[in-house]
Amino acid sequence: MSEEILYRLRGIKRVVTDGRLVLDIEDLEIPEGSLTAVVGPNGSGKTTLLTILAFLVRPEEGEIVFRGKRVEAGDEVALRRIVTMVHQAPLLFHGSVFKNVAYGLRIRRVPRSQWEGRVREALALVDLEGFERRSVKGLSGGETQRVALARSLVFRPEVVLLDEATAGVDAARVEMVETLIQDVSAKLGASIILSTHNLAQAYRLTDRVIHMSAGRVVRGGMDNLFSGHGEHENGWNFIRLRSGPRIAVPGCPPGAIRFMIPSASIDIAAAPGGGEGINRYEGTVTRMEIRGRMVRLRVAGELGLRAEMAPEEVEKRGIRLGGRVVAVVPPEAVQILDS
Amino acid sequence: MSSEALGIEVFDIMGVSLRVSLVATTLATAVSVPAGFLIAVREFCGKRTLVAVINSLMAMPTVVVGLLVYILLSRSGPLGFLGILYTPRAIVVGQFILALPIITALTYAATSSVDERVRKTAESLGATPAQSAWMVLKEGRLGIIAAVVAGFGRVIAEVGSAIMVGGNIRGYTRTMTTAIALETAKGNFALGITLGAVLMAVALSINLMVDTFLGRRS
Repeated sequence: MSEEILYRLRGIKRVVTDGRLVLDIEDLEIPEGSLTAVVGPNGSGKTTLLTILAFLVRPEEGEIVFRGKRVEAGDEVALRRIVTMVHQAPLLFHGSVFKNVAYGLRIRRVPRSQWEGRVREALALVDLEGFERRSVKGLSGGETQRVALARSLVFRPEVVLLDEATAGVDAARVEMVETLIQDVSAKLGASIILSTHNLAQAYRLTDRVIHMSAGRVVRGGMDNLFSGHGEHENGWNFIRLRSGPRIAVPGCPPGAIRFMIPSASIDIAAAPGGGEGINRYEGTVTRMEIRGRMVRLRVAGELGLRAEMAPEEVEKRGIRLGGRVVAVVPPEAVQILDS
Repeated sequence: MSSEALGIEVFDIMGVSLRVSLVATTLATAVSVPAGFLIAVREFCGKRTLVAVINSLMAMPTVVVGLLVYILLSRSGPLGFLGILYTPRAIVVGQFILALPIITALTYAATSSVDERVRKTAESLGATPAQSAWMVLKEGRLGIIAAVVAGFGRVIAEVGSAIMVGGNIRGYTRTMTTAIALETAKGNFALGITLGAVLMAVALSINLMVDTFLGRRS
């Protein structure tokens, strides 16, 4: 069954006033109901991408398709009723926490009788029960961030975009916000797209990670995330997966480890034969689909993998749907996320 | 003149002053607040020049406005057919013109200083353009109220336009400022000083009321 596509972006270009191209996305799809992270360094275009996905900014060029319908000028206001964005360093309006959180209900003309219950519920989600009457003036950075989150969740949006949601939150509350993000996805069924600098957080929280650099998507959410245990044997470092197979890596700490294998780093060739290497796994191609200029492959076997290859390579290597293949993972491609 | 009659006359003069100034300020607010807001939130060619012109108009001498309105409303002027010269309406027209640049310029300044994130945040939460504009106005309300108060202060204290287009007719178009000018010219300094004190008291009362209101709101 193919997954429903929430956003489809084609040829998106965003140019700022000084003429600089800050976003250049050739092709990007984000599935419905997913938890997606956008990672990249400062200035890589994460926030710009989020503001475009939030329909706050219109790109100079390109096409956005939202739930199968091309977004035209003038559609944005209606779409912003179901898509919301929590900005980095969010701003709270003057007045009380209640007034802020109830704002989304007020502008949607939700009956006033429902406000109190809904606001209380939203504040409880972010662990701020009893804050309704507090003025926003005395709130800490973390509390401000959480009130902003409650303000965006109170009207039960279908898509939530979070720009560095844990940036101002103290370390003790980060886990709470991360749990909340996962709860919102699971309980409200909302699709969540978050930007973060923290690669470990991105992989910890989300199903897909979009890597950005200089306004471009450099990897589009097809990486492989695993967890296992670090081992040392005959001078080699391995990570053993719970399911059995192990992967040689240049170095790893002992104990539980989460790690990632970028889909583009996996070398795949038709079996018998195929590439050579210490991390060599056999499997069957269960899925092949063309996405932009690349072919995405899913390989089922002792180590289930997702890989990305150029179409001419797929043809040259004799890879076909249902065919047996050998996947080789270079040890240096394995990225340890946390331990 | 008995003190009772004097009191009644002062009361009448104060009534004319407050009426014309409040009407002129209300009309100017209705035009200037949206204008100042739009100039602040929209980008267009010539915006800086327009702002500079409006700022310059704040210093427009009241007699120049009086002269302009006189030319417009005099029998041979383009609006002479209205027949409102030497009536309170003519004073309202003059004061309206005087208040326009002040309220517009100060509304522009107040709106420009509202954090850009207010509009973006409101839109992120699903606000329509009108709802997000209203939010910007609400966040800048202290500055906008100050703009209206400044406009009112300017018109209730002006004398040049009121005397030229109102004619200082006793019991009809005599305002506190025109009365002060007249009584001083006649050598009735005591009455002039009394009217001046009343004018200051009125201005102070209005400012205190606004201040109390703003204090409660914030």
